Amino acid sequence: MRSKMKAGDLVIIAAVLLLAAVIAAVLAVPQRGGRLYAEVWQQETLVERVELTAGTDRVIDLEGHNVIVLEGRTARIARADCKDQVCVRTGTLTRAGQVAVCLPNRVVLKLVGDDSGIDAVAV
Amino acid sequence: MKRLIAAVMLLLGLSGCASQPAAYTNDFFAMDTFMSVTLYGSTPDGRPADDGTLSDMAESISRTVNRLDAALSRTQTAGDLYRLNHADGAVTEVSAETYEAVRQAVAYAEQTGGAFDPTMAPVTDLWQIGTDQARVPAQAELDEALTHVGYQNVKLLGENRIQLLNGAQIDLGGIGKGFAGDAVCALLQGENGAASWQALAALGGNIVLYGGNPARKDGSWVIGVADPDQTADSLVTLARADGSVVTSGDYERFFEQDGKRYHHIFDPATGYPADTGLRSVTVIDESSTRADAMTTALFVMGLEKGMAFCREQGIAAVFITADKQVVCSPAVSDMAVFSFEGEDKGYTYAQ
Repeated sequence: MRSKMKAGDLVIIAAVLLLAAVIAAVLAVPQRGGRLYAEVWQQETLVERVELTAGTDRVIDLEGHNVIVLEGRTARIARADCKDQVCVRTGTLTRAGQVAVCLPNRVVLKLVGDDSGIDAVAV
Repeated sequence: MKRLIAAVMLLLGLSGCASQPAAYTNDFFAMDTFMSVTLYGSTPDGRPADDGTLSDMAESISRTVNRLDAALSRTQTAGDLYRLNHADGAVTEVSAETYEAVRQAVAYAEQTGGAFDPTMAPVTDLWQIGTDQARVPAQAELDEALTHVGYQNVKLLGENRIQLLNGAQIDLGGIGKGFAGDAVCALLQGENGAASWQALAALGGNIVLYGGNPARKDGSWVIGVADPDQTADSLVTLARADGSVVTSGDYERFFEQDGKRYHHIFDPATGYPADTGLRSVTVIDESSTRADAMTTALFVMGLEKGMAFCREQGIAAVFITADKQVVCSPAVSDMAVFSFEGEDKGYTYAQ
């Protein structure tokens, strides 16, 4: 009787340790754990707010002026009809706090969500 | 089973994070760029400031930046600088704020031996970089324009009066955002209600930090230094509680002609974009105005001269070179916690 109880305890301990390991792994990779949203602003108005998940696959076309691609947990301004192309060269946003700005068209793409490790980028 | 549930509940309880104070973010366009201010406030008894208090301060900040934009812009016709530039050399009285901005610009020009010069307007006008009319000017045009360039042409006469000699024109684009950053700090420091503030202001890529970061235990804000080829990514991170981090790079405004890149950081000695093998220079400083002026000056000096200048003057600078090196001046380690992250992008770090 006593030995059966011990076996049950061992199972519980093993299960708890396994769960602890899973939680620790999730916490150790906060970028994958936290929620992440892409916000698209046009003329200082929020026009889209989309949660980015592993399965996200979406193209937002701002009447041909800017084309924004949301892919998995990333976002980028893929095309712009302006001359400087600064927003396109900003590249792919992957972390909360990153921003791509098309000044001529007053379009801002920003990622918001849990702490990402970097608060701002000096450009 | 009950014991299993209890153990799981305990684990989940332990893994829960302490709640963080809420940030208030205000985004706006000013000084021909995008600005984003993240603000935390607390009352004297330590409670988080309410939304109204936060939005009032955010509003004050954007009002201050817009006021400076109007005063220090070359194109806003109602502003101080426009009046000064169009006074045909007559003595012009400006606001105390504008006078201070010009005074600092001239002081940094003197300190850097003219590597930073706020009188480059006739040259930048010829290139028109950042507009559809950008072009490479003829040498004769540049030679003529350069005869009007020189910070010595700016006479600071006291009592907020300034005179421009020799057809000089002032362009404060090289320090405007920095000066605005310092004004934001002064505002946060002032007696604005009973609140105390913590803030991160990204003024078009010029970063101003104030009062520490409540979201991090050590109070630091972590600032990335942009990868010149993909500016959302960082080659370096710098952690600090306050002060300013400013970067100038050849990727911000430029145009290409016959396969050559012409960017917006001009060498006052030649009238051409500085061609010194650098992609960007970042300066960490208590004063955002000084940081702004120094990034331009160091970019013009190039790595070797710039590094010697940093050693001599105790300036904290991070140079990113075209041959993919990240080089720090000695003062960087005194000013921030530095971390190199450019290895997987083919960069090497040299101290």
